[in-house]
Amino acid sequence: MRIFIVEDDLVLADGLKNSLIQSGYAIDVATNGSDADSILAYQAFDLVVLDLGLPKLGGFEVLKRLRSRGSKTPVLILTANDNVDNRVLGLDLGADDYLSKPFNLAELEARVRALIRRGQSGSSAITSVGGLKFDMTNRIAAYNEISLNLSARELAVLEVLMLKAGKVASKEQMLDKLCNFDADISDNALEVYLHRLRKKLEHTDINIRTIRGLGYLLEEKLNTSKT
Amino acid sequence: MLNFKKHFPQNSLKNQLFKWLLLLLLPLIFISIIAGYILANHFTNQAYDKSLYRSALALAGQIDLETPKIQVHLPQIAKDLLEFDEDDYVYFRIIGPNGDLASSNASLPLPNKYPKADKFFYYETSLDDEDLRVIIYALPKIKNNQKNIYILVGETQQKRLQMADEIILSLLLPQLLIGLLVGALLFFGIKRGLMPLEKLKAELIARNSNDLSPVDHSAAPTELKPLLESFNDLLAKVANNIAKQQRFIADASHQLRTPLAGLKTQAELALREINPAKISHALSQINVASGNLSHLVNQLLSLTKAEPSGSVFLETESLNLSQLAQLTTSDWVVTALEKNIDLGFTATDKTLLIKGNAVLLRELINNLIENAILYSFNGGNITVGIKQENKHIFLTVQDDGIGIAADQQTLVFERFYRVLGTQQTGCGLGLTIVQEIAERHQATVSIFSKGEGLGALFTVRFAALS
Repeated sequence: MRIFIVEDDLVLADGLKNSLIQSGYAIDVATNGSDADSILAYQAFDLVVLDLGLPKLGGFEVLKRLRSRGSKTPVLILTANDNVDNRVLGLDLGADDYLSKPFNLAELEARVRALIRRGQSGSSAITSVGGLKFDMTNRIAAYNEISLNLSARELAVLEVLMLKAGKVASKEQMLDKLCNFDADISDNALEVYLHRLRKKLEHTDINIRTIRGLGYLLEEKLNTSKT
Repeated sequence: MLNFKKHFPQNSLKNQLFKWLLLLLLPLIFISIIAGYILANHFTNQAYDKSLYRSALALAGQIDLETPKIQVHLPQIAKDLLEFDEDDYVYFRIIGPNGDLASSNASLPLPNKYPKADKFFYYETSLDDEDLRVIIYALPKIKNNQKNIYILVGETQQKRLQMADEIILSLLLPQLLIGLLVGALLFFGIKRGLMPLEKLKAELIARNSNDLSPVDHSAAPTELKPLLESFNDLLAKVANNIAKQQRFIADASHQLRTPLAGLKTQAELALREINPAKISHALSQINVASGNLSHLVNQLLSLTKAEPSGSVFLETESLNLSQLAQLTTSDWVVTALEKNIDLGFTATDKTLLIKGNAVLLRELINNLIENAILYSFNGGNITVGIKQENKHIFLTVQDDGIGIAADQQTLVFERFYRVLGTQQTGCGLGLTIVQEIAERHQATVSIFSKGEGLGALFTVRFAALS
């Protein structure tokens, strides 16, 4: 896997390079936009980590030119300026992800992994949390490769929870997904599905936690200190 | 064609007044010319008409009514005397029942109607292309069967015209002169009056660009004083804003120095150390300090955005605060769980509308929740709530953490203030930001806390959008 880092701050570039080498990637570095543009014109990469505040040619311009050449290489934008307008512009211009400085190295690495994986398998329709895997196209949920016996509605609820893994999924979002099926689903009915789901996940390392007034949170049991 | 706009620019006070003066004077002068003309004619006619009347009477005296055939005794010398006039031609005509009894060479045209006995009137007519003023006088009846006899005396109007002209001229000329004089005096008077403005302008131009001291308006005209006072107020506000910003930058720089010092010290330590465990310790300290620094920087940025001087125009819209609160609280759940804190939400209504700026309000809620988490114990409980009562919407954040003593409750809103004795890693700006954003939304923030160790309830009160 080959990653291209474009960052003009030498200390940060050095840090990024060394951490990603540790993860097993081959790294190239450019410290200004016009060098980056020339290199990207003839060299293919699996991921570009792009700073926005670059000398000679700005980050947005490098991105624009990359996309105009038809390149589908995943791009992760790194920037000190994290206002909403910039984010929207970046994503509109064809960036795949946006991370503001300063950032957690672990988070950067996770996003790099996710982007490379996405680049590899096209659009991956499989989400996983811990040992739980959900194949959205085939509508199958499995834990440790063993299929779980879930009804269509239970699968729908689980899908919402897994897509928002690590964040709270609200009742509204779940009810919204469920109303793709026939009748109106009441709050009580939702409670029933969640109860059944919890029962079926009892033996796994997955926990569905109730958050007062906000919804539900899917989490791995090992990370929680409080049940 | 004279380029009017160029020579008399619209915005010049002087020229405006001059223009108005002209606009008023010209019609007045015009009216007075006409009035004068009418009056002059009137009095001139009066005077010369009287003379015509006397001539008519004189002629009447020459008419003999005693004899059966009416006779007029008018010797040539009398005729000559009557017709003598330096300026005008005089004509006369005496008409009896059977036609002219006597007449001058040219025959005076007759009027449309005739006066009754012993009555007369004047009329205008023309003879040989000349305008005439004529009196027609009917002789008084002495005897019963006396026939009507009329005496006509007429003259051209040269004298009258001349006299009228002289009167008008003698009236008009002084008027015009006075008008011009007034105009000129006003013109220069205003110029003089506005001279302090010129002085002021020169003074302001000469000023240093950094000089925001008030302008001295003791010598300015009274009409300009209010303007200059407002100007000074504006200068004071700008100076105040700049001072605030400078203080902020100074404060921020000072606040940044301490964590930076920490970083540098730990780094130097790590470089000196050989013991891997100690190096690792130093490095983790560096990690913590960097985290604090970046948090401080973010808070400083938030604060500048929240302050009025930060962004002059606050874009507001009608927004659902209940939904915003719910979404924002959701974002903090996982962080709260890391400290074993149960973070929950409660709302009386899923739609509660206020007028505000979504970005700033999210910052406000973020800071309140972050604060609650920071000062809660492990295993604590935080609830974000929102409800409407009458015309107000109340956003509340309740925690069961370390609480705030009564004497600290106003202090906590001050910049960089941290409650003494806590080892918390906050930078002291959170509540300042909350206060600033609330103020910009015309909302109030209040604290209720029973004291140390007894939790705290923060309430932000907004006006509901009806």
